[in-house]
Amino acid sequence: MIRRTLLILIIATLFLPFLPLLVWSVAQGWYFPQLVPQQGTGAHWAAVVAPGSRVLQGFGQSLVIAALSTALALAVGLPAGRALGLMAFPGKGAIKLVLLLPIIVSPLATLMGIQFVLIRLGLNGTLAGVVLVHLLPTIPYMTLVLSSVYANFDTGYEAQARSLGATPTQVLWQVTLPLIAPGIVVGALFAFLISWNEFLLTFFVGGGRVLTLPMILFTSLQGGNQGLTAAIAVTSVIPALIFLLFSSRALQDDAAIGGLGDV
Amino acid sequence: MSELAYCAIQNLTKRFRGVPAVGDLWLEIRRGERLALLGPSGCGKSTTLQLIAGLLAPDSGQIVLNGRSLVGVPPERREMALVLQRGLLFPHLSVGENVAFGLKLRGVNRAEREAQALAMLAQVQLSGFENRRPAELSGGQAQRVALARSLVIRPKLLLLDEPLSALDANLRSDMQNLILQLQAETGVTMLVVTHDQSEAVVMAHRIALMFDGCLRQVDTPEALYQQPSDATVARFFGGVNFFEAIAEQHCLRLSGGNRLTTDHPQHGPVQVTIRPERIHLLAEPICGINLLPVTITQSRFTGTQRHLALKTPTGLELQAWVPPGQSFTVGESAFAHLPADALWSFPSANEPSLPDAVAIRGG
Repeated sequence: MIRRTLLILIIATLFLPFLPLLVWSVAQGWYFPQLVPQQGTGAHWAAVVAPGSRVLQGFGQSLVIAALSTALALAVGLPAGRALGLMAFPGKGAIKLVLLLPIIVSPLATLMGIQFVLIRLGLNGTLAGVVLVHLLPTIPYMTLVLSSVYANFDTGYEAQARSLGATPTQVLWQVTLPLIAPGIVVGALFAFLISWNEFLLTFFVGGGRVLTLPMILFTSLQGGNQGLTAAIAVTSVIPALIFLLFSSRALQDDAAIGGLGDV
Repeated sequence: MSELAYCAIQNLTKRFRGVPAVGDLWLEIRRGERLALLGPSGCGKSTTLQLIAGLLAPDSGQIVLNGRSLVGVPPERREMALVLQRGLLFPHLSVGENVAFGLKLRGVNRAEREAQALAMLAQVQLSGFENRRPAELSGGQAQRVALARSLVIRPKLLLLDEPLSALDANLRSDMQNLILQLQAETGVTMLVVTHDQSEAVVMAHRIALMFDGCLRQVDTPEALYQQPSDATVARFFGGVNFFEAIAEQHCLRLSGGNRLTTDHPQHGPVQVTIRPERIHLLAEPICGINLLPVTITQSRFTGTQRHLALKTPTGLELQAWVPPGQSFTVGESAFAHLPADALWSFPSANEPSLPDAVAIRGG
């Protein structure tokens, strides 16, 4: 009974803040003394889903950037996480600290320099430049998550597979990756959502030419159309919700092991 | 290299950061033989196994299996199979898929590998378990699946690393019998690594005893019990009786003036040992040879035996394990008969001083 009440409370505190947003997105103005909006409208949502709308374009742009930076962060994080999680070498603590720096230090401190380099490389204001700069916060998260996954990974499984006749490549695809899959899901989730929500880095490096969903959201917020802003805000939560459902299912799988306790 | 050697390990050496883990190891295994690599934890026996399996590269030396040198051959092409202590079934595959894993890698078609996997599961008495997940198995069942998974690929050499030590005592003898039975059925050549001398004695035709990265004695279990090469080996196999003597061929002169006769000739100052279960205790001096008058100083009943501590008038202390029916009370006088064939000796100076125990990987 208490468990149930607690669960409802948690869900309520998590989802109640979205209620005003949802109401705003379908309201034709909502001002102070009114408890509920006097007049509803579908105009905001119509503007969002209209073919070729800026919001849909931004949604697509964000999706491509987040997917690319997640894939690149995985490509770096898998070997780096393995080295940090399984191997002992001098300077390991220092490397972990350096990895945390992009999270600790404000990107404003480094953005000037980064922008200078990207301009010289001709990447400023391009999608590739934005993907690259999104690796700044995603690689540390990915590497740290995967290093703790690998720290609990038993390499005996790999030795066992080798002795049964698997080449190193076959071991990777048929044993290691399936075993650490839950950890990869968590790391990818982190990386995707960090990239999805990133504003400041996109703002500077994108130079107003790469318009991701957060950029459009902020522009709309400045424009003062609260109904449209609310609709865009709700749109931007959709991937997070989808991933939450997807990952909770993936993590519940009995076969899933690999560093998240006995998941 | 003798003609009989099926697998020959020659001059195998491995160091970890300069610390020798395995030093100049020579060992030959015959076709169809069960050999146990026995030693205390940290003696380098697991490292040796990993070197043989190809999971570690040796600093020097080579391994020859069935006439083929394995230098530089990766583990997947060594035609060996490894069973580790923890079983390590792949948790994302079913029991049947686990057993078929090696066959699938060898390109065996689906119908064929399913048939072979099912037949192998039946051989380890786990018919009907093919669709279970590894998490649903008990420790003993998991270990049997691991055994099936290794045997189904028909390895030239089956390597077992402490296969029983994670199991309960009562499961252990069942598993021991199963391994011996499967080995007899398949005729596979088997190398088992263990720290438990009783396990090695039951499971192996020959035992290779290893201390501090070096082989000390390779012999049959009987020889290791009765004719150890030195006091360290004797102690490892539960030897408790050691005393100094001067040997002249078959005659041993003890420091108190007593003389004993042995079947095993030696010369000069020696250390004599005799298994405690080989000492007979007599109330009267019935036979004249190899008798020592003793006083019983301690008597302990263990259920299947009576452990007696004895002392001679010259101060020599011995332990004798006698049948439980023989009742002697503490303080009683008796005669200890030390049979000539049970008296074994080795030169006193033979016992090399062991280097301090170094941290060696594995156990």
